[in-house]
Amino acid sequence: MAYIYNRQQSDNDPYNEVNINARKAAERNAPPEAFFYNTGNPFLGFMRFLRRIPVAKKQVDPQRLMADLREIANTKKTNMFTRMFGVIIVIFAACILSAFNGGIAVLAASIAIVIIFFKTKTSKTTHGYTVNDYKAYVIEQSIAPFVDEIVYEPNFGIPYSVVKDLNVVRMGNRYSTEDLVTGKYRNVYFAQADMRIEYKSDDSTIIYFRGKWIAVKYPKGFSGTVTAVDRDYMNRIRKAKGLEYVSMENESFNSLFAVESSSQHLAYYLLTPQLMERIMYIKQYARGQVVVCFKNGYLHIGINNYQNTFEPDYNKLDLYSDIEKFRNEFNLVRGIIEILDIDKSVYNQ
Amino acid sequence: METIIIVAAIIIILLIVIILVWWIAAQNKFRTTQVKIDEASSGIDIALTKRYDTLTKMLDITKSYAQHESELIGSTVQMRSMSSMQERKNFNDSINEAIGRINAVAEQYPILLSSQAYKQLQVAAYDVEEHLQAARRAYNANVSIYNQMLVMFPKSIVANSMGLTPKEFFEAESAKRNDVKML
Repeated sequence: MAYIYNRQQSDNDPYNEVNINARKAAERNAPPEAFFYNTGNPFLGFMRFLRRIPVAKKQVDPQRLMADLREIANTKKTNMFTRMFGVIIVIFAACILSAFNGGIAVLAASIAIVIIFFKTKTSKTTHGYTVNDYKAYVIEQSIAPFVDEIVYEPNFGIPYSVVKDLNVVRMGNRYSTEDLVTGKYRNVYFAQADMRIEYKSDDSTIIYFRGKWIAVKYPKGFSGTVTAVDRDYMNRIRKAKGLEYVSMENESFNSLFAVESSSQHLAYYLLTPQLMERIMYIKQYARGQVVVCFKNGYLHIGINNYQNTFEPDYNKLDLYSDIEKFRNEFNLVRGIIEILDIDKSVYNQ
Repeated sequence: METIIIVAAIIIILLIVIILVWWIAAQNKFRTTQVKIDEASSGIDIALTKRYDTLTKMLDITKSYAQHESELIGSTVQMRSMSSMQERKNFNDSINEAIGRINAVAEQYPILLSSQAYKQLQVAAYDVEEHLQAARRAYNANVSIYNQMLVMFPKSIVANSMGLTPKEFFEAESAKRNDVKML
């Protein structure tokens, strides 16, 4: 089968940062069902094309981790300063050289600037920690008290073909996703990742989606599709084939979201009054547009608010603030699972 | 003068055509809503039938532990033809009561309560109950739209000409209404 991709072991590539393009090409061509495992955490199937097994958890010393992160922050600042200084020197030298030969001066300056920008200082940190280790540690500390089987993969996210198959968002011609966090909360498996979808033409780039995508394994069986898409979201796919418009009993929800479903009954079965309220709360809380889709046994929620899950602020490193921030962000996932009321229902017996 | 008459005639014809198109559209809207109500109503019937089937299976399992109680409960609920929403509601109320009584009996028999078959039936009963709630909400939402159209002018004229009357809501069970009663 075309989408099978050979894993290779690589001790020097703990976060699978080598050959990302080859892996992404294999992922893109795979059918959506290839990404969900039937046993255990289904979302680990997102990493089916990982060149190695998921990274084993590192033992982290917070003080050393922060020391390394400060080193990384300083390196970034130094690199920036070096680049700017280098560019000024090159331009100055090019101006002098142009007095003798203009063509060679421009060529030499261009090459020098490219080298300056791509040749950055990548020396290892004192204790060997990276930014991804920092993120992994923040996630672990934030949600470990109530989430089981946590897996964090910085270079993975929701696969392209899974999102495309939902048929709710225009897919553009550029797709990237990262910072996958998956685990089990109250017996319900979930995954969340940052996502960016764009359409890039010769003279412009239009962002179709940028924000967080959450997927939850729905324990109740259902066949068919239900979508509820924010009416403010301009890049939605209107009236997908085989779906009919459904008017819900909640007028506020109807005014904010366009609901389409395989059948009216399915829409009312899956979109309970509590879930509709929760979706409206997410829209208000996340200050963005929300896309909801039930399909193939999963609930997908996309939040288009132009925000990444978290990146450390290199100007003001604060571990505890980042832990608190991620915990607050995760409350969205917790809230969805709690409102679904599927964790304590008889379905998990 | 002739031009004025022609223009007036065209305007009148246009008005008649617009009213005719609107009239047909309004009639179709009523018919579409009626179809949706019928669909939702059949959804309620399906859910009620499934609930009854689940109840029968639960009674069968309970019979091997408490035959007398099981037969007593079974005699209070019989499958019946349901023509009105009130009849459906009454039937649903009797199923609720029977399931409550079966659970009370099961509490006295820990082996029955912990048996896999009984647990599976509980899951099935829970799922059917959720389907019934969904069908009830869908039905009531459609009836609400329909009843609003019936009384709203000018659609009320079309409704009167078609001889349409308001539809009955499928009320929530009285026990559930009491849950949200404000003191």
